[in-house]
Amino acid sequence: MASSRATASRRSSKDFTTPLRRSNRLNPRLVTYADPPEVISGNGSNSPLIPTKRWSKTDVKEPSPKLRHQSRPSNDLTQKFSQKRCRTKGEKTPDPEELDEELLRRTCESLNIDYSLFDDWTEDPRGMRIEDMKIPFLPSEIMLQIFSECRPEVLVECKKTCRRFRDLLSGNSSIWRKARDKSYPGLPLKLPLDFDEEELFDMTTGKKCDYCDTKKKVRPYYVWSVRCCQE
Amino acid sequence: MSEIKLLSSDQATITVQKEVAERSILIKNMLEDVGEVTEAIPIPNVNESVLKKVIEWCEHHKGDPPAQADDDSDSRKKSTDIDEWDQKFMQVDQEMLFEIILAANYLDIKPLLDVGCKTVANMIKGKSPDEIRKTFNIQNDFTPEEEEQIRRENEWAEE
Repeated sequence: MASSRATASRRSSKDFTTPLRRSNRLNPRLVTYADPPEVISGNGSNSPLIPTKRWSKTDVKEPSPKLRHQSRPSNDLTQKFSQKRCRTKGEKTPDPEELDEELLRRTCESLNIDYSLFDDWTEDPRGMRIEDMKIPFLPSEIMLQIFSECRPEVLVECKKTCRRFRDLLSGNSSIWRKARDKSYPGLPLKLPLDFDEEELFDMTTGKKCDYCDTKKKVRPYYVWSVRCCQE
Repeated sequence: MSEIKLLSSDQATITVQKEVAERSILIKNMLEDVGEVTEAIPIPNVNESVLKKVIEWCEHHKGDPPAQADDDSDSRKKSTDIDEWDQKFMQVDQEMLFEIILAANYLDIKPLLDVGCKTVANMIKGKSPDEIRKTFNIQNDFTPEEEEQIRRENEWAEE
């Protein structure tokens, strides 16, 4: 909040036709959507076996349980865990509880049904969804620790990969500060003026002039929080 | 040297030296609280293969000096270099790598967690968003409008 107010006040003395800085134009907090882990597991298509599908907004809202089972891929991992724990849930098989796993699987094969359709297990012994064990679902505190090992230019790329990363990274000054330390050690830890760490990186590494579109002889002027050409 | 037993989530008992197991702050604190234990300590969040791997790491690093609480200035310098043995140790498939990270987090073995995170950070380094998604199986869940916004910003930054 404080930083956005600061940005506004910085800009107020200037011409408002100038382009906004990046972080102002993309404000993730304005976007609401369903819980990302729920979304992905609802589709199950993050398996390498299934071609990735882009999410549309309608997908995000209601991952129907039916769809979930239909699209669950039966990859190696699925097999591995289903051996450990398999609760059956059948519409087509009369009493699946009594069937042993092997029989169920053969039945599925003969009926040409996806075997994984029948197992309702979604958890491995540690209470995590199988799908959760991919990097996007490492707990946030671990993701943040991983990000804090990255350089700022890497964080910029990470922000563009998915919503969860973007949300973790935007407005998280301490991560950007650590990242800055890695790339440009020796800079003071405290920032001058009221820069946001991310904004600072933006300004330092951007190429374009804030006023005209030229890319020549552009340099940041931190004092005025602009980067522009010498004209 | 006294030994203790650990019981993995899949009910495997693993015997380790107390000194080795105490690389895990969780186990260390537990032992301090409980005193002498004869039966196996359950580690419900970690399966046998991961636990063995973690113990392998602890064995190799048992002589390491304990981490300083305030090594902030030190960690500023270190960036993403990982010692050679750890690099080899971390050459496992992604599932295992994440399992190790989660186990290190659960068992509170900070240096191992650090190594894991650095390994993942190195995997991310130098990749485009698309490549990052491919490597880690990440869904591109941006809406077309958000994509467009990102694309516009890209022009801003990279041209």
